[in-house]
Amino acid sequence: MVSKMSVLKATFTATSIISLLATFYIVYLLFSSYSVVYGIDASVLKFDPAGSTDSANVTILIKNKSAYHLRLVYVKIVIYVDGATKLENDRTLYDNPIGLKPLSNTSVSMLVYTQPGSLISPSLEYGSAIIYLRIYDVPLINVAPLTRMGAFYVS
Amino acid sequence: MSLKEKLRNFDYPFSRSLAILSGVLASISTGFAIIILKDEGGVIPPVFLYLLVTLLITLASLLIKIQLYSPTKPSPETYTQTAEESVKSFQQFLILLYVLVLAIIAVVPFLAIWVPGLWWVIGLTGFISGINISELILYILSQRRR
Repeated sequence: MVSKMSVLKATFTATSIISLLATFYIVYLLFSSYSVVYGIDASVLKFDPAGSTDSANVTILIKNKSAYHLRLVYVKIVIYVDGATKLENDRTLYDNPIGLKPLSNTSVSMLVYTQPGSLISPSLEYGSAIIYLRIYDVPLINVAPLTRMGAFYVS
Repeated sequence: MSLKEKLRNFDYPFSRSLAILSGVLASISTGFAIIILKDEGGVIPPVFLYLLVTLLITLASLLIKIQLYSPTKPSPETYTQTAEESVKSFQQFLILLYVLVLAIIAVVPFLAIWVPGLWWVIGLTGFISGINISELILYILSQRRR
């Protein structure tokens, strides 16, 4: 026969163990989400105007240094060249998300366009980029909007 | 026995160190919930939802625990039963309750598959905080009575 006290003790022990395990799991997920957020690098790998003065083909390199398979659903690139000329991509949202495999690099190519009235100089040497990303399947928070900045040389 | 009488007469069955363990678990869980949810936006702030879920689970578990920790007095009807029958039915009720509590606890982490991340965090941290805060409240009440 099971006594009331032993049932109470067993329930208390089970609740405490589950609470502890769940707390450790939350901590694990919290650190995992940090590792994803700080483990994603994005930079301009290639900026190629290919003779055009109002558009350029840009390839960005996304490094996933985390151990998680992630999905990239949104990419917006804002590029500044010659100190003032601004270029942006028109397609930002991906209906079929791009897979970011764990511990690997992924390159994404897209066209960026200048704003009306501004042109890309043919003697352009370098520029700077702001890359906005939205990544899915991040542990705990699911969606992470990220911003990465950096300079690049024109190929 | 009314709830007030049960509150006056319940026997807290666990030691001080176990009550402190509950307090530590409740504090850690509350801390993590606030760290995770403080920057999340929404029509209703998630921290408020967390506090609401915690309050509901605390009240519910307080009511269950007061029932469990109160001494069982047989009602007049049960005098007609044999002692063996009443003990047996009580044991069955306890085992059923025990299985129910364990099943609820075991199911909670698996809700991650179906519920959105934010609700999972609110549910799980609210559950841990609520269950453990009620334990702490009962310990403090039992100490005050002495």
